[in-house]
Amino acid sequence: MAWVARGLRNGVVTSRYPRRADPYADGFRGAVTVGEPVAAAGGDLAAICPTGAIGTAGAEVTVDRGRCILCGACVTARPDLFAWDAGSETAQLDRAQLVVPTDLTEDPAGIEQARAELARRVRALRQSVHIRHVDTGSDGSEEWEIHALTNPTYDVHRLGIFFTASPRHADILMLTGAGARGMIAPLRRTYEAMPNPIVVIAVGTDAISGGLVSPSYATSGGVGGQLDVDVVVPGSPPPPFAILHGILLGLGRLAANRTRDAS
Amino acid sequence: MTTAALILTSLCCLASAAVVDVIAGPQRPALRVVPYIGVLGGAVLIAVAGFRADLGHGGTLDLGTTLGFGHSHLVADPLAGLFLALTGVVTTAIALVFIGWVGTAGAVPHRGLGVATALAVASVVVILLADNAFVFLFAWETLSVAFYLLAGYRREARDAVRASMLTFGFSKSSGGLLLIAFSLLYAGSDSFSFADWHGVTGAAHSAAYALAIAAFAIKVGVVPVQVWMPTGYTAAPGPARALMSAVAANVGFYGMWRIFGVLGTPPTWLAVVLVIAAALTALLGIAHAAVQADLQRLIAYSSVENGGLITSGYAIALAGAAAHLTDLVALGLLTSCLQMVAHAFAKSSLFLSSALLEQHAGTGRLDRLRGVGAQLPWAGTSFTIGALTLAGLPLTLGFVSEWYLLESVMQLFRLHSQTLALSIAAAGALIALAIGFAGFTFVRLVALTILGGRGQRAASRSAAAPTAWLTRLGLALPAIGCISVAAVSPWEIRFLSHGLAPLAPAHATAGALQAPWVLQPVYGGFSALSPSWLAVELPLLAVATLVVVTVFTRGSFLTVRRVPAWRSATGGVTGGARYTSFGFANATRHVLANVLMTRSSLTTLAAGTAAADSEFTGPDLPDGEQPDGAPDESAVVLALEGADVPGATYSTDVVEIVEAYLYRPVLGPLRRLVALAKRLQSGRLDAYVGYMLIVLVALLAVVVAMA
Amino acid sequence: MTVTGSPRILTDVATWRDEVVRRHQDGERFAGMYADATAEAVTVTAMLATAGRVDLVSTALAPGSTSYPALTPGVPAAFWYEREIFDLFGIRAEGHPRLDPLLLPLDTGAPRPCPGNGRQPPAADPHEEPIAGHLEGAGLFTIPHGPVRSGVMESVEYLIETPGENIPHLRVRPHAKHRGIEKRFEMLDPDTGVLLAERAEGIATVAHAIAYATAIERLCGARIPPAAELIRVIHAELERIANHLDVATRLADAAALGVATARFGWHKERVMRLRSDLCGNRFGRGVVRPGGVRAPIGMDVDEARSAATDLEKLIGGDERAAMSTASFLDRLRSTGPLPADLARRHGALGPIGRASGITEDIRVSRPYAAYGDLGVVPAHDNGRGDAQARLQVRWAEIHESFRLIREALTRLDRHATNPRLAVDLDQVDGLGIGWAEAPQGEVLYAVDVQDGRLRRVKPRSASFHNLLLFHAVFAGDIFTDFPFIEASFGLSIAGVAS
Repeated sequence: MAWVARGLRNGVVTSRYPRRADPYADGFRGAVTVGEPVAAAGGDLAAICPTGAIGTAGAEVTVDRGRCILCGACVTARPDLFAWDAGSETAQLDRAQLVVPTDLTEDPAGIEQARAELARRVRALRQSVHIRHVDTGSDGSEEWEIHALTNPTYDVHRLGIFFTASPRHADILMLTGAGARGMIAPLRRTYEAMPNPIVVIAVGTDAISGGLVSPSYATSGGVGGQLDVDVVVPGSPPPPFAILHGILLGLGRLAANRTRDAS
Repeated sequence: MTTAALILTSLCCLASAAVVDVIAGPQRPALRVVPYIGVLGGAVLIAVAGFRADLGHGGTLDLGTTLGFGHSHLVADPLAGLFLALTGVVTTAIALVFIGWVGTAGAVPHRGLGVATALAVASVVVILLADNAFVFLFAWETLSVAFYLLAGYRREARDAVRASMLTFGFSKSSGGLLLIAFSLLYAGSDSFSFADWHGVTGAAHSAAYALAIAAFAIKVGVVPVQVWMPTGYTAAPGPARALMSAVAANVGFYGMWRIFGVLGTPPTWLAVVLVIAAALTALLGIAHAAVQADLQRLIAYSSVENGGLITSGYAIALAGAAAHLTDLVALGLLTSCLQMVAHAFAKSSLFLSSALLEQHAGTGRLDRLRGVGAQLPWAGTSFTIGALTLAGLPLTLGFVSEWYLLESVMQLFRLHSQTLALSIAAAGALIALAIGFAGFTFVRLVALTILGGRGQRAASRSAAAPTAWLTRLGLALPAIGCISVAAVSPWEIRFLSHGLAPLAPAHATAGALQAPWVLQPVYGGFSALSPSWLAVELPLLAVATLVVVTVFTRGSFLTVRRVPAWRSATGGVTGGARYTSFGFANATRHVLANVLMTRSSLTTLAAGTAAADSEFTGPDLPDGEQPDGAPDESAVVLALEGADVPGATYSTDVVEIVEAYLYRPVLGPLRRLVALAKRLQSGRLDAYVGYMLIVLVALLAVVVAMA
Repeated sequence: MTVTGSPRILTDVATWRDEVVRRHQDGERFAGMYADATAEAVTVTAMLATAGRVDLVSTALAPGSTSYPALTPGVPAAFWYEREIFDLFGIRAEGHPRLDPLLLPLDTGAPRPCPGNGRQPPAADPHEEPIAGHLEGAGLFTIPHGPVRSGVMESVEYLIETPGENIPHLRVRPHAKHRGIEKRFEMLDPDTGVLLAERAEGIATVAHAIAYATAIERLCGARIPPAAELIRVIHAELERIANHLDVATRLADAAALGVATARFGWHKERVMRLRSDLCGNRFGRGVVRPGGVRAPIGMDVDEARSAATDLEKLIGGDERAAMSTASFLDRLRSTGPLPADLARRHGALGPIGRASGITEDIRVSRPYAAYGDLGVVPAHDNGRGDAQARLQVRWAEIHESFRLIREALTRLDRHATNPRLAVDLDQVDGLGIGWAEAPQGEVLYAVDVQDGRLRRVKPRSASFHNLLLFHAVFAGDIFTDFPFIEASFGLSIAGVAS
C-alpha cells in the first residue's frame, strides 16, 4: 500500500531518550526554581502565587512544584527571586522532593526505605510494562500528553511500555486530574481490578495537589488522598518527556546520577 | 433368543405400556412410571435385536396374509438392524429420563403421553422392519398419529392446537406422497413387496423416486417442507421432543436409504435438486437456530440444520450412484450415517437435558436461563457435550461426522457431470457456512445458558432438582455416546459398514479405514484423521500444559484472587446489565440479514411516533451509497429530546422466509377452498350417493385406461 | 465593533419563558442557559445568538421560589442546561421531560453549590445510583462504556442500551469528572481567572482564555493592541490545527491505519512543539491575559512562517492519502449522520454544525481578535453530516488556519516597531460577554465582576452544547462505529462536566 512508502518518507523521527539527551526535553521550560537563597525580603511573596506554591515559612523561600501550575506570575513579579528552569526531568519518587530548594534536613532514611520498597515491587516489571490510565478530573490536556507518548516522536513501545484498556493487564496506574469526587469510587474499582504489583504515577499538578481547581466541593485536592502515589510528575500539563521520565523513574530504569540531576 | 423373538417381545412391551397408560392414567403416582418402564424394556430389546441384525444375525417375523395385499413380513436385515440399534439405544436413554420426569409434579397432567410414546416407538420399529409397502404405510400413518398426540399433548399451551395440526398436516402430506409413489411402483411391478420393485424403470421410476424422497424429506425437515418441525418439536412435552427428533425423524432417513436400495440409480436431476435443497436447509436451519430466543426452538431449528447436513451426505451418495462411482456412494452413505448417529446422540442429550433445565428454571427463554449448569450439573454436562458435538468440536462425534461431510463434498472433482459437480460445490459452500454458524450458535448456549453467571433476574426455583439415578443414567448415556463413540470411531465405521451392506458393498465402505485406527474418506491418499489418537493426545497435551505452566510459575498459576468483573468501573446500571443471549445472537441477525430478513424498529406509544430503522431490509437494499437506515426524523426527535418518552420500545425480528413467502400467500386461497369444499358436505343422502357414483365412474375410467 | 451583549431582565418568569421560546422559534439560536445565585435571589438566563449579537435574557425568580417553567418543551436544546441548573442550584424546571442528574447527582435536600452566592459549599460526594434505562424490548441490555474508558481518554460514562450490535439508544453520564469550575471562579481576581478559564477545557485553552478575556475587555470597554490581537489569532489557530489533527489521529487509529495514525500523531506533535517554541507552553497557556497578551512570540517571524508552511505541506500530503484510502472512508461514510434540520434546530456548533449544513462561524459572524481584519473563509460541507463530512470540514479548517497564521505573522512583522502587547484595564463592575470559536465550536463566557473580583463566571463550552447531539447520531450504526463517531465529534469531557 502507498502508506508503507509514506511511512518511510521522513526517516527516523524518534527521540533517543533516555539513552541520549534530547534537546527538546532539555530545552523545555519545565519548572520554576528559586534563585540564590535570599531572605524573604520585601512584599507578600505567598500572595503572588495563585495556587499557594510559594513557601516563606522557613528561613528561605521555597517553591512547591507539586502546587505550581507554571503560570509564571512569580517570575514576572520577582525576577530577582524566581526563574524558569529548563529541562523535562522533573518527576520525583517523593512528594517532598518537589519542594525546591530541597530541604536536605529531611529524613533521608525514610526516603531511601520507600525507594527500596518500590524497587522491590518493580523487580517483576523489568521487561515490558502496561499502563492503565485513569482520568480523575483532568482538564483534558494531560490525556493529550500521555497519548503523545505513543506517537513516533516518543514511541514508548521501543522501551517496552504499552497502554492497555484492561486493568487486568496493567502494571502501572497512571492518574491525571484533581481527584474529582465522582471518580473516587471508579478509581478504587480500577485499582482493585489490577494485579499486584502496582506502580501508581500521578501525572500533572492537578493530580498531585489539585492545582488551580482546588479547593472545591467537587475535587479532593489531588489523588494522593485516595491511593499511595509512587511517582509524582509535576506540570500543568507535564510534557511527554516528563511523563516518560516519571515512568522510567518509577521502574528504576534511570541511572541514579541522572535522577539526581533533575532536582 | 432369536432376533425375531426379541422384536416380538419388545413390541409386546410397548403394547402393554400403552395399555397401562390408557387404563391407569397419570393419577396414581405408583403406576405413572409403568408405561415408561415398558418402553424402556422394549427399547433395550430393540437395541439388542438391532445389533444382532446389523452383524448378520437377522430374523423374520411372518405376518402371513392377515393384513391383506399379499404376504408380508417383518424383516430385520442389516440396514434395518443399523437403524434398530440406534433407535434402541437412544430410546433407552429417553425412557430413563422419562421415568424420572413423569414423577415430578405437573409434568403429566393427563393420560395419552405413554400411549403416544409407545405408539411412536412401535411405529418406528415396524417401519424399519416392513418389507412391503402396505405395512410400511400403515406404520407411517400410525407414526403420524403418534406425532399428532405428542405435539398436541400439552393442551393448555397456547399454540398446542396449531402445532399439532401443523405436524399432523405435514405428516399426512408425507403419507399421501408415499401413497402415490408406492402406487406408481405397484402399477409398475404388480406387487406391494419392496423386493419386487427393482424392475420398475422409466418415468414411473423417476417420479416414484422423487415422490418418495419428498415424502421422507418432510419427516427430516428439508426445505421447503421443514416448517412444521420447530413448532411441532417445541410443542411436545419434555423428553418427548428427544423421541421425535432423535428417534422418529430417523425413519425419514431410513426411508431414503431403503428407497435407494430398492430403486437403485436415481435420475441426475434428483441428486442435484436434493443436494441444493439439503444445503439450503442446513444454512436456513442454523441461521434461525442461531437467533432463536427460546431454548427449545433453538434446538428444534438445529434439527432442521442437521436434517440438511445428513441429507447432503445422502444426496452426494445419490450423485455417486448417478455417476456410477461406487466409492462415492459408500462415502456419501457413510457420511450421512455418521452425521445421523452424531445427531441422534447429541440431540437426545440436548432435548433431554434442556427439558430438565427448562422445568427447573420455569422458563425456556434464553435471556432468563443463565448459568443453569451450576444448578443442575448432570443436565448441564450432558447439554454441554451435546452442544459441543453439534458444534463439531474435536473429541466429539460431531467432529468426525462433519470432517467426513466436508471431505465428501471435496470429492466433487471425481464427478464428470458439470451440473452435479457445480451443485455440490455450491452446496459445499453453504454447508461450510452452516457448520461455522453451528459453532457460533452453540457457543452461545454453552457460554451463557450453561456456564454464564446468574443474572439479576435469577431463574426461579420451581421444582426439586432431579436426583434419581435413572435420570442421570439417561442423561449420561447419549453424552457418553458422543465422546466414546468418537474415540472408537473405527468400530463405529465397521458397524455402519455392516448395516450399509445392502446398499453399498462392504469392501467399499470399509475403505474408510486406512489403518485400524486411522480414517480416510474412502478414497485413499486424500486425507486422514484419527479421532482415537486425538482422544488420547488432546487430553494429554492439556494436562501436560497445565503441569508445565504450574511448574514454571511455581504454583502461583493455581492461586486466584477473585475480584468483581471489570465493567469500565461503572457504579452500576439498571435493567439488563449484562450481555443477553439475544444480544449475543444479534451479530448473526446482522451478518445473515439477507437470509433472516432482520428488521429493527424503535417505537413509542406515548408520542404516537413509530420509526422503523430498517437497516437490514433484506435483499432489496442496495449496498453502498445510501446511508444505512438514515434515521427517520421522528426517531431523531425521540433519541434527542424524547428518550424520556415512556414506553419507548426497541424490537428486532427475523422472518422465516419459507413460511412467509411460500406458505402464507397460499394460506388464504386454501382456506377459501376448504370453505368451498365444506359446501359439498350438505348432509343430504342423495348428494352422498351422487358423489359415490361419480367416484365409481372415475375409477372405472382409470381401470379401463390402464388396461 | 458592532457586536454587543446586553443583559436584559424580565422579572416575570412566564413572560421570560414565552419570550425565549418565541425568539427561538423566530430563528434565533439558543446558545445556552445558566443560573446565578446572589444573596437575595436566583436569576435564570438564556443566551440567544443572532448575527452579530448574543443577548442574555434573564428572569429573577421570586424569593424562596425553587422552580420556573421549563424551556425544554419549547426549546429542546435546553434539555441538558436545565438539568445542569437543577444539579448546581436545586432549581426545578417545571415541565422538563426528565430532570435526571447530569453533572452532580446529589441526594434530595443536599446543599447545592449555587455558583455566585460566594459561600463555600461542603464537599459534595455524588451518589452512584443508576438511572433507569429508557428503552424496553426483548433482549435489551446496557453496556457501560466508562467512566474508565478503553485507552487514554477522559472519564465519561456512555450507557449503551442495545440488543447487541445496534445502538438504538445511548445515555451519557458525564458527572464523574465534574470539578466545580464555575464555583472555583468565585472571588478570584480577573487576572487569575484567565488561568482557570484556560483549564476549563484544557485542549481549547486559548479559545477559553480569549473568550474570557474579551468578556472582561468588553466590560471595561478596552481595545487591545493590534499585535496582541494577532498573537491571539496565531495561538488560537495553532490550537485548532492541533485539535483537528488529534481527531484525524484518533479516526485513523480506530480504522487501524497504523502509518496514518503515526503520521498524524507526528504532525500533531510538531504543531505542539511549534506552540511551545512560540510561547513556552505546548497548549498556549499563559499567552492570553485580560487586556492583551503576556509576551511576544518566542520565534523569529520568518522562521515561524516557514515552519507553518512546511507543516501544512506535510499534513496536506497525508490528508490526501487518507482521504483516498478506501478502507478509511468506508468507515466514515454515512457513519453517525447528524441531519441538517436537527443540527439547525439544536444550534450545533463548530465543525459538527458546519458538516451538517450550518454556515455560521463565530470568527465571521461576530469577529473578535484580529479575525475581522484577516477575513476568515468558513469551511462548509454539502451537509451530509456524517463522520466523513466532519473530517472534511476539519481539513478545510486546518488549511484556513495555516493561511490565517501566515497572514497574522506577516502583519505582526509590521507591528514590530510598536511592541505594545497589553493595555491596563480599569476596574469596572458588571456583566460582560465574550466568545471565541474554539476547535470544538463557539465558546461563550458570561463574566460578572463585583468590587474587582469575579462574582459569577459561566463558561459555556461547545463540548457541552454539542455532546447532547451524541444521542441522535447512532441510528443505524453499530458498536464498531462508536469510536469513529466519538472521535469525529472531537469534544472534551472536561468542557462538558466542568
